[in-house]
Amino acid sequence: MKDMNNRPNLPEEIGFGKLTLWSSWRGSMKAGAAWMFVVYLSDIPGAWLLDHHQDWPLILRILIALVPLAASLLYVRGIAQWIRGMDELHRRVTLAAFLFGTTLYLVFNTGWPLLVRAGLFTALNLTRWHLDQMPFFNCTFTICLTYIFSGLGYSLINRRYQ
Amino acid sequence: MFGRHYSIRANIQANGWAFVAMLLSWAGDMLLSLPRDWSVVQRVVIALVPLLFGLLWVRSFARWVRGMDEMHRQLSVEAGLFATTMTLFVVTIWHVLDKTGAFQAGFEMTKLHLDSHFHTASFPISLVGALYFLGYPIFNRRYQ
Repeated sequence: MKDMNNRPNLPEEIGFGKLTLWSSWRGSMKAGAAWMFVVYLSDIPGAWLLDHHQDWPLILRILIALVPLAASLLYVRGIAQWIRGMDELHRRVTLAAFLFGTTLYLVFNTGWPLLVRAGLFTALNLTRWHLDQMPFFNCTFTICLTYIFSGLGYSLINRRYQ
Repeated sequence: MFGRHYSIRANIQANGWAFVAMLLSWAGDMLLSLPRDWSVVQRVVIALVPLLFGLLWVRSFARWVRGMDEMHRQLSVEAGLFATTMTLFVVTIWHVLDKTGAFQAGFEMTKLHLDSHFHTASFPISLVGALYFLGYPIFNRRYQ
């Protein structure tokens, strides 16, 4: 019973790889999901407040903007602690998967505004779908897309070990 | 990093494309700022070339890490993840501060154009590189 309680964390707990019985709310909470929801709940209302109250004092505006970022830091801390609780092989694969995810996100994050600046979306009339306004600097969007990219990276890297 | 095992040849092999990407990014930024009638294709090529060299940097860096022993590889992956994650934070904070008007207020006091630096590819590339060099000794301390 004690061994079961001390079992190492698994990447499947947050839905990486196959969704199995191990995927659970409890596992996700261990991996910082609570802070992720704090980010979601503070980010979009914060952006709305900043857009609609531009006359508010600068300090208040900065505080509103920094709340989701502080929660994101705590989310990253939760993920790091969760990864530290894995066995050696899963830790290696998960670290590589997150490195893949964050790097790919950085490529998009850097490249998309350059394409907007070059006028590609306007020339191809893609602005009607607001592709020029992709919120790459929004915490919610960052977490979601990084998670998707990391999940993709996990599936690719995990194939080597099967 | 810059200890007795430092080799300029290995550094160029691993990070050479990063320097090319940064130079091209600065050049591209200047070209796109010029009041000339570039076609969309020309503008897209100017904008994307530094990013392609950035991808070549990622490839050469990954190869360099793959050639390491087990412990150094683990350290490099951890330092790399630290660098990319912190870069995402810095870039996001930079954008958020710009959006709140903090840089405008700061400009009135310091006359520094802090709002204009994160639009080029050289900013995240140099930040990832700098944070990797900062992160590596931090993670290395565990093994000493």
